[in-house]
Amino acid sequence: MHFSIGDYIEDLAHNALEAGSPITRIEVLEKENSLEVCVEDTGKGMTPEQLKRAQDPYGTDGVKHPGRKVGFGLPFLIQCVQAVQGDFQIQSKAGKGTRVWFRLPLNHVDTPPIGSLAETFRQILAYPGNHEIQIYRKRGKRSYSVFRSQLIEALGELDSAGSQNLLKQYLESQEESLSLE
Amino acid sequence: MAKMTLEELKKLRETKKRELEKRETAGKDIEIIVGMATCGIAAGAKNTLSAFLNELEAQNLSNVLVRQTGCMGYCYAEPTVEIRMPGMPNIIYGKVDPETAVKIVRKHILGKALINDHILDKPAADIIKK
Repeated sequence: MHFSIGDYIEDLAHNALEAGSPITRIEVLEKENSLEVCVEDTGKGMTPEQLKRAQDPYGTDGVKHPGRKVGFGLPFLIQCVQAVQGDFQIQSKAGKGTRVWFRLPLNHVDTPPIGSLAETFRQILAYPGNHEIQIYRKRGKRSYSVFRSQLIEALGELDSAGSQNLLKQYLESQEESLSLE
Repeated sequence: MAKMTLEELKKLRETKKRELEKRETAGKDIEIIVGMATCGIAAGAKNTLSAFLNELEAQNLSNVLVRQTGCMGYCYAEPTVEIRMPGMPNIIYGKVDPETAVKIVRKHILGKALINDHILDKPAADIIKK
């Protein structure tokens, strides 16, 4: 199991990027008693059979490690959602992309902590490759958006430790602006 | 902290770049690759990655490349980290918690010495091509 909700978001984002998604949109909407997350990609997508297998912990496409029979990414999330009476939806179309949506109650004793979303977003945005990521974050009535292409334009690159540390400062300031009255 | 704009971020980067240009900078040819698949994340790889970035900043090694990758096949030994740098063999370390990440920056990258009890010498048996 993952420790924080941020870990689940990062895992979903990596699935999207590993599916070759040129454009990935991530939404994290925080309300008083719940958190809704949507990760929508334009990657290779899945057939109904592949989609079924992706939700089975003992199913994997066998591409990365042909000798292995497990794939825990989505099953971890499904288990977490079920444990706290949240909601989970997944839609996918081969050749088009995948959309994963989940909602977790924030007042359930077993709901994981959100964790640092500035840290989560930094790591997602710094994942190597030539792709666009759009992040939309809303807390109550306040919100912000970030685009990976704009950050690369501002920082030159996102591979060096220096750029990733500046990126965290930037994202932390966006997160802090959500809690200002 | 006021909400930073992209223009301010760009200016901050230029200031940092000028500071770096003034002193002897190292690290452009050093690469740290952190395994960030489900197994890595579950084992705490996010904290490991953050610890590397914090320590590199503290040691003025802003040019070091820090990259993420998927599962390297060592799910039993996550978080796993590969270090590539001139003058040292490419090494994959396992069970790299934040404390070990700091040790890797200080001993391996700066001190050019191996951290023997974290070295993984070969890929897991089931992913070796026969």
